Amino acid sequence: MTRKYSVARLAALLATCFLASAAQAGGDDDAPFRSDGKTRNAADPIYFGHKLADFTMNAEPESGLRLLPPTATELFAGQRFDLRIETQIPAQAAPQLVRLTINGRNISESFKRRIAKQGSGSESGTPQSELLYGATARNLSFDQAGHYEVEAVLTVDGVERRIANRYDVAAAPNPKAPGAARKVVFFLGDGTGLPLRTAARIVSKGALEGRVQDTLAMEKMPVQGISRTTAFDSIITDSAPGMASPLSGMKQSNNALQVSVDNTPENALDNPRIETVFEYMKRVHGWKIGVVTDAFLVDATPAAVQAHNRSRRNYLNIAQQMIGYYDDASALKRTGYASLAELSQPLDVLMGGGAAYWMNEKNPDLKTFYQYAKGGRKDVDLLADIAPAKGYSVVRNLDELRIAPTDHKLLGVFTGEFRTTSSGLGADNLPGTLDRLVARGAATIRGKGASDPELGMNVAPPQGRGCGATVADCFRQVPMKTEMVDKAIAVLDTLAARERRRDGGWMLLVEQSQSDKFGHILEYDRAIYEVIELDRTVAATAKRLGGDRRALLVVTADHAQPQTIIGVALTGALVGQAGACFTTSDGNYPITLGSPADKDRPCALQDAIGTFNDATFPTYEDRNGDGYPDEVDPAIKLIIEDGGRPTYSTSFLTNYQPLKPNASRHTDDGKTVEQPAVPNPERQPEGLLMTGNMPTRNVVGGANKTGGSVDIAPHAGDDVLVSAQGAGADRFAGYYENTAISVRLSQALGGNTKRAAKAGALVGW
Amino acid sequence: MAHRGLASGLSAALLLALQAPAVSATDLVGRVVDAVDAKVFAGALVRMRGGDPAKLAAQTDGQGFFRVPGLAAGSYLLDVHLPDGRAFVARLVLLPQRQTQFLELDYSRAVPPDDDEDY
Repeated sequence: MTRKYSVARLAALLATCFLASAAQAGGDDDAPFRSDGKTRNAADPIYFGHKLADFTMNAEPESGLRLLPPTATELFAGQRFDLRIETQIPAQAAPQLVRLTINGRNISESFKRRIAKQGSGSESGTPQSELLYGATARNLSFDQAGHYEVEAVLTVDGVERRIANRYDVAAAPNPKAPGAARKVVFFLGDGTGLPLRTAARIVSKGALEGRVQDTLAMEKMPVQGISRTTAFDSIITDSAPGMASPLSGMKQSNNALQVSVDNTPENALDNPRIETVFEYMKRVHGWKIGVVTDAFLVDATPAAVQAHNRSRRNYLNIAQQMIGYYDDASALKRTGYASLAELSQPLDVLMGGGAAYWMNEKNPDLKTFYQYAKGGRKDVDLLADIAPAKGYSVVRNLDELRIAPTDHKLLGVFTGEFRTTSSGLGADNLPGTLDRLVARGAATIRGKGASDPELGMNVAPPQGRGCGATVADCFRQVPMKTEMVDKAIAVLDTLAARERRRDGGWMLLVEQSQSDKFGHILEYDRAIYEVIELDRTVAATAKRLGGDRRALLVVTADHAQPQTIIGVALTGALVGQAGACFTTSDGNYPITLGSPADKDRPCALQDAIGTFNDATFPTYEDRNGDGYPDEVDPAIKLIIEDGGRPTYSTSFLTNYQPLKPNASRHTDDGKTVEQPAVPNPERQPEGLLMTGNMPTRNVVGGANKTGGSVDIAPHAGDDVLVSAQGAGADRFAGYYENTAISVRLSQALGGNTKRAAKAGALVGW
Repeated sequence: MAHRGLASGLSAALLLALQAPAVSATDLVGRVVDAVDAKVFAGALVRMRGGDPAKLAAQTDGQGFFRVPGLAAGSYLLDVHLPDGRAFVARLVLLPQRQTQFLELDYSRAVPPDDDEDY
């Protein structure tokens, strides 16, 4: 044993020397990342470990030949996907498909016939140049579980190029199986990393002698897992692939919704698509599906349930996909997108904000009720005309939501955070939890309620009184998340019971969006209230469905943010110590720190944080028993800070209204330029200066590349928790890619977990 | 056994090194696009920093493609100037032993979104 060990060490040493000398000889920084002949797409490599490393892409290097879905996409049997073959580098002559095989069986003719049947153009993802190969066979699936090797061979300028992908396909969901889940609520805390969960517990549950008095409903769940959130093309995901990948099993690029990249970037709707678990259960088993969010409805997270688009920003056609409306005279055409209409399953329940993407610009309600100063659709009015014609009840506020029938599909679009004195969320997104509580008289900010002018709620809405006489009236009519989910479940229950297939099954995605949006603008206290609302909704849902042994609840996040808990502060002292921490000579640079009297103590606020053994316990109270602290800034409050941020200043007190952290300026031609290096002069200018570490601009010709102007706290690349309870919850234990969530859902829905002995075939031609 | 394994392993490594393609320069093929706005950019100018400016610049064709031949392996920064006046910077790690390397220069990935809602 000893001798073998020594020889092995010698071999390793020699091998290391061999590799090291090779690397040094060529001055090759990339040697450690050299792989096995696979192309690396170096579009945006990541700098780490003093090496510039790009990400590996499974493509043939000289032609860029690749197969999609990406290799190792986690599929289940029956799940639809588009199979695409494409090259990325233009050839001298049109490349030709020589062979396409699955587990050695030649299916080239089936593929070619399918492409011919679909026709060229957007249905097949045909590139404009014939010097690129590109063909997508739509809506195929593997008919049974097993291991599949797919290989494509093309002739490119007289040379055969080949690429192979592999897929391990799980068993199809089978809701009739014993113990299979038939009611699934998937909670997504956007940007809710572990620190935000911890903060929500400390703030809402308290502690005695170091021991928590109660735990979050999320913590009570018996199964806890961890998922990795990395996107297809970046260690930092945005919210599109952060939600899309877990619901379909396919790693996706930032900005992408249930599609892969392709070589026709001029068309965001023709990319190769993949079916989500939600869509599959509706298409195959007649289940009802829904989304509830406090973001605008067409935002990335809710859209990931059943929209398919390379660009999350294509809000108008995403809204149409959500209710299944295709029309050549609208943003989502019927011609060229028959395969999309066949794949995308309309939602039965949807609630959120963002009326401007649903209503025609000429509809007066857009201004007088929803408070948009401008905006709106130019083609159709989905809210007033299309959705009612498709059988949806349309509701605009809490009163209408309460009386809406449960035996109709339901579309709820509520008013947003439209205060013109706030630079936080904007009219698209619902007001934050804290602000809705203040409007309802259930919470205060630094002792002030809705009647105080500082909060901007005791005035008439800016564009008309359609939603109420005052801003507070309008905010009171925006439902809390528990109210939305309660109604959503009632409707889904009723509709599912009436479904002729009588499965009685449904799936609901519940997003807590503002935990991310408030995190971005460093409104930490508001972000914590969002997570408390998420947890209260989880608790209420668990209670409501607790008697149903076939209900499954899952709670996770699409990604984290770089926040962390650093201590506590005595809020009274914060007020006293604020002021004169820094001055600016011209509203910009340079910044003068401290006072001549005490150069070692430039800002007394830096001494305000109690940390280590000086971090005692915050003193939040919930005397009205609604589950939320009555005052956001009690005598001792919790302090969170960010590892990534633009420059801002803070007194650690809660802003009366949500405000963006950094300054901006206007150019002569009317454009707004964000200034991530300059604090917002309207936000706690008396506070401690927190210098930023996010890029200020894209430095063309400079010494390095940055990510451009980032005027928010970023997302983090950290892994996130997955909590589960109910039918099939045990599937969510472990440490896995976020794409594994799709397969674990399919197993909780009755998919057989035994390894398949023999693979099947690709079907759907 | 262990000695023989070591010897054969080293022999295989040396053999692989000798058999590696003798590629001293790589052609960079790139495409300038905006995946979010669904655009390809014709007439964009791509400049690679350092070296001979005349040799390390290219303009995109009607489909947004460009080619810069004969590059040495290593790390590069690329300044990309779009026809509408916008510009951005991209990174490139050019691999050795490769005749051609493809690089998609995506404006939407190189700069943050115009709207905070796109995060």
